[in-house]
This record gives sequence, C-alpha cells and structure tokens, in this order.
Amino acid sequence: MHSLLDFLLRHGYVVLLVWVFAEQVGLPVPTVPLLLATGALAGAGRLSFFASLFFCVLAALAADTIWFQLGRLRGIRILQLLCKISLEPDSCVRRTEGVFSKQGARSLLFAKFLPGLGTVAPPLAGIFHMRRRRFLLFDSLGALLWAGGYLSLGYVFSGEIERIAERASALGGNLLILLIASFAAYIAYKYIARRRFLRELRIARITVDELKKKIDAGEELVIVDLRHSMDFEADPETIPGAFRMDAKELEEKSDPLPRDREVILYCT
Amino acid sequence: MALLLRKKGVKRIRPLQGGLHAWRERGYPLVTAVLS
Repeated sequence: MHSLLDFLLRHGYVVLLVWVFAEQVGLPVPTVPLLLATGALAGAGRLSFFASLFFCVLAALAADTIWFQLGRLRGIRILQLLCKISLEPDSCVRRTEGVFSKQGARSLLFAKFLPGLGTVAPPLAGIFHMRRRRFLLFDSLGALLWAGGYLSLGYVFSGEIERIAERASALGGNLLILLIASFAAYIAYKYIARRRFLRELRIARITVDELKKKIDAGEELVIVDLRHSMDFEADPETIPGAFRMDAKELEEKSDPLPRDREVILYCT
Repeated sequence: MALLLRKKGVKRIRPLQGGLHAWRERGYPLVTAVLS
C-alpha cells in the first residue's frame, strides 16, 4: 500500500485516469485499493479530492461510452467479445441481463459496485437502444456514486490507511510480491479452469449441418434456446423444436432436462 | 449454463457451434416463437 501511495504521489491523476479506464474497459485490474489510497491521500491533503473524483468519473464515462456505442452498433455480438475478456463471463453476463431487465437505466447506478457487472451494463444499454442522454445521465451518476463512495471511504479513514501502509512498508517489499503473486495465481487458476471446461465442450460441439440432419432424421433431441428473455424479445425467431429456458429457470428446476437424450444448447 | 446442466446430472451436452447466427447464415428454417 505504501508503494501504491508513493506511486500515486509521483504520477498523480494520470495513473487514476489510465487505471480506472483499464478496469472499466474490462481488464482484471483491482481499482478499489487505488480509490481508497487516493482518498487517503486526499484526506492527508496531498491530492485534491474533487480533481481525483473528476478524473475517475471521466475515465469511467469514456470507457462506458465506448461499450455503449459498441452495443448500439454491434448488438448482442458485443457480449460475446466480453465473454472472452471476463473471468466469470457466463454468470456476469447472465446476472447483468437479469438486473438490467428488472431495473432498466437504474441498474447503471449500482452496477459498478458489483464486480464484472459494471463492464457489461453499458453495452447492454446500447444493445437495448437506451437514449444516449439518459445513458450519460445515469452512467455519470453511477460513476459518481462508485468513485465518490470509495474515495470518501479512503478520505474518512485516511489515518488508518496511512498506518496500514506504514506497517506494510515495515514488512518490506515481500508483502507486495506476495499480494501480486496471489493475484496472478488467482487469475491463472480461473483461466486454466475455464480453458479446461471449454476444451471439453469444444470436443462435444455439434455443427449446424449435423443438427439439421438429426432433426430431419427425426432423432429425439432436446434443443434449448438459452437466450435471455430480453434477447428473445429482440429476436423472436428460433430453431424449430427448440424451447427457451434461461439461466434462472435452469437454476430453479431440480430436474430441468431429460438425461437420456442429447441436449443441444445454443444462444445468439 | 453447460456447467450448471452438468452439475444437475445432464451428461450429453452439445453446444451448437456458431449458435443461432450460424443456423441463420446457412439458411435453415426458423420459427417465430412467442414468449410465454
């Protein structure tokens, strides 16, 4: 933490701008410690609270606007790109779609507090053609609440954070190395587990030609359209014989599908 | 989703390569469904 404070003091607001932008674009960089540290520095009078807040909101808004525009231009396909970036893509996209369908624009106010969701909410707003002015209003307020909340926490507990930083400094650089190594190990674990599961699924994949032949041959298949209800409303066409079941229904049902048949899954 | 199904005991899971987009691109038939 001490090194983080020194680093922040040396490079100031540029670090904030780049770091927050990177996180909001979808890179797995932890922003909360940085915001707390910045708040602590503002509390100690070494950085301006309002300038820090301004740069955080600016960075978040810039990244979110890019995703919003991509959502408008590329539609639902942009979520597939996000799936490649996120560490928990399936659950994060699913949860955000659920939150978004219930809360609409208001979900932008708190999405940033839920890890991963902050990145998925802006493209969803674009996909569902939220008005630009409405998006900018709610997203700015959301960024203000998020950055302002953590900066204020750091500001209020400035003394405590300084003490923690001093103790961490006393432990030497080993603590920083340990923290970085733990974070890298966590990312590596998630990445390897996901790759392994995807490899298994890739082996079992069925092509559209193969599926068509099976349908024409009258094979007993279970075809499941996994699109969320919002995606389904936007494009109600589906493969003949398929039935729609979203993640929520699947989670709630104890015996959702017959186990003796091939289950074909698809989404967009 | 596939992981969730596997946890619930469904073993023969086969994701459709390319999804609905690929099906549509091949010109295969589609039906319009109504959300219940």
